Amino acid sequence: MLGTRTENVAFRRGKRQGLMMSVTERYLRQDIPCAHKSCQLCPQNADLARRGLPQLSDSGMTLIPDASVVSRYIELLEHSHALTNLVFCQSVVDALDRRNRTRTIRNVRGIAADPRRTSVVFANEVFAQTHVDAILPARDSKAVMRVAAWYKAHLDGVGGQKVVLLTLKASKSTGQYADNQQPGVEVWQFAEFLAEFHPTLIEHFASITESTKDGDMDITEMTPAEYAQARLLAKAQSGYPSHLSPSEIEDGLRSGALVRGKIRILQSGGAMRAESQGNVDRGGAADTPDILIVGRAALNRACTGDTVVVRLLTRAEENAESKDSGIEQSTEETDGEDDNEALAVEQIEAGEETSLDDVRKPVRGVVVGVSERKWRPFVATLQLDEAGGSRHLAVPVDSSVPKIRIHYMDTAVIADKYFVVAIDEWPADSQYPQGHFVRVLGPVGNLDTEVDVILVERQIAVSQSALKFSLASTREMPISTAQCPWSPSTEEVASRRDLRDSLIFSIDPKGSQDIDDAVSMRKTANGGYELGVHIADVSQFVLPGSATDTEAMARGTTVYLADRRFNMIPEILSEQICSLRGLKDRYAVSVIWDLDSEYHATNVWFGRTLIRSACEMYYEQAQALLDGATNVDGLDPKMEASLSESVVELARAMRVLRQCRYEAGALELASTEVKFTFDKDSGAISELVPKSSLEIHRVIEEAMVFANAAVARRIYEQFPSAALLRRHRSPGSERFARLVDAARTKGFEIDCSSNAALADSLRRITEASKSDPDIVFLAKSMATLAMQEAEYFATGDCGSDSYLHYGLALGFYTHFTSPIRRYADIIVHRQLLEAVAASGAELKEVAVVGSQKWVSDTTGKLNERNRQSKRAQRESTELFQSRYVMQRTVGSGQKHLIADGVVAEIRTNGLIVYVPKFGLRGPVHLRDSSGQIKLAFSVLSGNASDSDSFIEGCSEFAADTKQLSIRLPINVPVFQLGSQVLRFSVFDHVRVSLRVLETRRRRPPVYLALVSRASSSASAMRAHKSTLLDKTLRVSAASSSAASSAASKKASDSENILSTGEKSTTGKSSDYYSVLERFGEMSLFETHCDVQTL
Amino acid sequence: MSRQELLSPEGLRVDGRRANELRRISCRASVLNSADGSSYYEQGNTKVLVAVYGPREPRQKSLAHHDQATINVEFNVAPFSTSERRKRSKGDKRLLEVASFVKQTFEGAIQTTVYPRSQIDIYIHLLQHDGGTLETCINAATLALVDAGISMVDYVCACTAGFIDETPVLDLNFVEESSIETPDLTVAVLPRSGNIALLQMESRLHSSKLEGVLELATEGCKHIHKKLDEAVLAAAGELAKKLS
Repeated sequence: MLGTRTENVAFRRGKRQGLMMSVTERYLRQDIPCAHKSCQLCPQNADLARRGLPQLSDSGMTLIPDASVVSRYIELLEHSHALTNLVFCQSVVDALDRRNRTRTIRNVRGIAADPRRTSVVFANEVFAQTHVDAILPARDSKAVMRVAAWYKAHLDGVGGQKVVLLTLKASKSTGQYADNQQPGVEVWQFAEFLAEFHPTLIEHFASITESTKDGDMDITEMTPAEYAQARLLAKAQSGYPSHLSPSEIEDGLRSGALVRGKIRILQSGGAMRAESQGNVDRGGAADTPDILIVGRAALNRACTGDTVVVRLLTRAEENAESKDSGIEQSTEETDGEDDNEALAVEQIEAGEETSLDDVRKPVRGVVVGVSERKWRPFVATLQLDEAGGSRHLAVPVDSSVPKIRIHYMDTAVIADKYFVVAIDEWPADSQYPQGHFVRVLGPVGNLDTEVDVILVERQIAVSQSALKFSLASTREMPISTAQCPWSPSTEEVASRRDLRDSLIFSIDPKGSQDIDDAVSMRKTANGGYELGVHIADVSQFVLPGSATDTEAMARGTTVYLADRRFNMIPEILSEQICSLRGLKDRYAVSVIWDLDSEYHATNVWFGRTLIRSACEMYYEQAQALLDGATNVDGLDPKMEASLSESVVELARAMRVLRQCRYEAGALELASTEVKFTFDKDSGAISELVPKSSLEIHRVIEEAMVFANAAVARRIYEQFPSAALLRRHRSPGSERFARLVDAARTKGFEIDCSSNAALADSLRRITEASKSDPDIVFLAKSMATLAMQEAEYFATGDCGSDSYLHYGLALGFYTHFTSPIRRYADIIVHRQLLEAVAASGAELKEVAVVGSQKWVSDTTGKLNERNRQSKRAQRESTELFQSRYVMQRTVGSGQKHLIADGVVAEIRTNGLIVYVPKFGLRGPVHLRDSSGQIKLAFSVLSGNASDSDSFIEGCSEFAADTKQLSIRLPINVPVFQLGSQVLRFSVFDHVRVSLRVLETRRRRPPVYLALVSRASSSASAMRAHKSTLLDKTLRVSAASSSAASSAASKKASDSENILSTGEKSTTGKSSDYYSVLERFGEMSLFETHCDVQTL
Repeated sequence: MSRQELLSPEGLRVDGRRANELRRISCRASVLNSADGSSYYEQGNTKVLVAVYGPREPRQKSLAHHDQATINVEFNVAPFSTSERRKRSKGDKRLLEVASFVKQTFEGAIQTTVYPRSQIDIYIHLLQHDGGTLETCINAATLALVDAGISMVDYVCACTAGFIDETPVLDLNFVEESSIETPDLTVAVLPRSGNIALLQMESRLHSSKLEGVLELATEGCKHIHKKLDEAVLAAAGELAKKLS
């Protein structure tokens, strides 16, 4: 059966060494069928038919395209159904394969599987009669020629069909095929062939010729060995420069030639594209700006979070660099769908990355060494190696992390799943870091998996189940069951100040389980007041060094996600024994002030107490009391009167305290928070509401701030070097540039020289835009974004001048009031109690909470935990927002979810719009990655259904920090816009349609599509306009076809309608032309009517 | 054909074979003079040299069994066996695994009780590697053992079969073998009785498909048996020529 054996030589890249020759054997056989329908000579043709493969037909000629045609004009071959009876030689397919042209091969196979095309792939390489030895020069063209000759000879017996060899390399009788021309075979230049037989395809041919002119589409330009060599060279060039040695780095740092800092990568892009950039924060003083590192080569294998050593670029180098950057293109082979999807995701995300702030020329540098890697386990999804190998790319969920090469055999198990990967190393010659698979998290899109992803990505835990408390810590817990509830021990009752007779109450969100603060307020006999803030005494139960304590410290904080939370301390403490429940005796740590009638504190007492909360109120109830309501829902009527009095007194006091703080310069800031309510049965999100803010919220907040500040002073007195405080550094005024610019467009001046000045400016905006709370909110959140995060610190770490809390305008501040959910508060409690115990007596600084080093180390960890938990919270909110939008759009079959929004920021390719209704921000893309302007047609029509079609021919896209403008094409009616140039500036109202991008690999991001410019306030106006527009269009459409008399009647009819709609039109006329003329001038007319309504 | 196309729609494999075709086998016994038995075996581009010593006195007394012979198998891969030179250490687990498979296979086939207190050494060298290591090792070892005149129950013939695109495929070469989706079943049978001496598989295969793959591999074994028989006859013929 098997005839002679031959060997096939190919080149490939070796794992270690450069170019390898790989030799595979090949068996030459006699039984390769010609696959011609009416051929009687080949019995194997029946086999092909059985396999469902098409066969060559009798009609027309047999076309044999060579490698140059197939590789360059595959698109033409694929789409031109007129071209039938194609014979693709296996040698051509092999040649494509050697150049990694998998997509082209797929197309070839597609043609050969289509019965209408009657085309086949002919295995000439393994057919003894057509095989050409590999060592011959120009063997590929010889092989194709032999196939043609064989077919000619073979088909002679069948019907004597013409056999045509198509090539780019020859005209009829010259060129490549001239010297091995076989009798009977016609060699045609592809273009000439098309011109002769298929003139309709010439245009398509020309366009492909144009688009592939300088590309390397034609594989015959290079021999396989040259190609492999070239690729190898390209790889070597794309290799990264090696890092400097430790001693070189040491010298460089000492001489100041190099800088060390932490790198933060903004966008790695799907494939670590050239535009990746990172910022190196040098740490320390604010006067050293971040260093910008642009490009994959300059980043030199640094990953986000790494401590890197950077060499700064000189101005000249910088210029050279920016010229070079065009050349440095990724040569990575790309594969169809995956890339498209990645690109789509990238486009969505790109909106968030390319901030205009970077227009300011920053210091640039290149990474020359990495001194510390911050490789954590990353959550990723799989991008399959299409070549069928076992080395795949893991695409991390975090877009700042490059793809990771992993080796994994059983891809079916991890496809479409989130899994954890770890990076092992990143050798200089490898485009991607090398890593390994760790474990599977679960399928993409599953809610629990998505939550796990957040937990792992934020390094909170390895999974949700890992957040259960250990047996050891459970054993430490006091016992409290329904039958035998926990009660205070007699010794404790004796040693604590007993406040069970005082009226103490708590105000929390509805349904709260972990109540960690309660307040009391009463008038004293001398005309003053006694204000008490009582905080759950967690430190009583969580002893230093216990298993619970260790665990709580590791967690740092309770993590609140949109639909669940992960407690810092076991539920039995957080929800029962520590929680200050109503009518239960509970341990507390209290701060009690004596206030005079002007609310000045005359005395303050700290200490452990025993309290019994009279009532657990929720905010709405308390607010009702404050508003003077009676018979408030859910309150004990007997208590109501006294509670009401207390709440009112408390609010009065807090208003005064608050005012003091404002005068000192405290800021009122805003943050986007939304609440999700869930449908109990289906678990679906039933509603999404922004968190409301009542006065009572601020009252409680103020009381807590007051307590925190008092405690901060107290512990600082006791531990001048080890007190755990919280500070908020004052930001430099340049950070507010964006806010200042944005406010200016609305006519506000913002002074950000100090917190007091800033607070004042913000207040002015608040007052001036009362009707537009969204703008106020945005301005505040922009101010918040500009500021640095508040952080914990040990007082010994810095001078007393930097203890300031900028936002609250307090000299000393700490966290004391939420020990159930924050570990910092537990430390503060311990410090406070230590201080109280030691007061009067000599301080023995033995306790660990008094050690500066320990506190300093711990605050570092706590800050990190806080940051991560905040991000987790934000991500989970985003997750649910995305699910909500998905539910409302895809799930319900409804196409559009329209909402009003405000432009929050302007980016190089679009806008960031804030949608207050759902508390989300999202990108609106007005220009895609290729620079095409995408302006929805709905901007003109006002119909949401038009938001998917785009206006063609927009030009003059211009964006700066203040304004983005697009010029509409002349032929577009712009009645309602009033001008041909469309402008967007910050704080403009827009209407947007919310969508989610469906991806296989990631949590679908929410993005917005612009529906129209004006918002609800102008919607009535717009509705009118759009009917007007509709009519105009209808009239002009009708008039062009109808007979003039009928049309003129119609026109006058419609004019009547118009006139009733708009009284200010010029003189009535039944003349059809004058009507049209007026329509033509509609833009003017519209402007006019704008003026009227305004 | 192309890399991802292990079996083309036309039913041809990468090297031009159809699904049920073996690679070309050529083998010769008595290729080394110093060994008691030896063989050189080629299956496609996989080339193996085997030397058998014994039965002889065991190297270590502790290895000697009073009632049967000890079989010792050493398997080595030449550093030049693949185009990328690679040296393997003695303790390479993959080498040890192959050696132990071969050993287990022949413990059932060699009549060890005929040679008590003795040792039979089988040294296998893989000279060129192109897939199907285990099958070639077993086939070559059979030939060498027959050449050494060691009593065996029967020939041991091994063959691999895989499963590509819903089709059982015989005798995988290196390219086919290294695709992870391809299950790779090696069967060693005693052709006369049809007993299976070794059944080993890598990757996964649905149990309902196993029968077809196994059948194909067994069919291959029968063909290999013929080839080995011819080689033995040829060696015997040469020996007879020398004697006469």
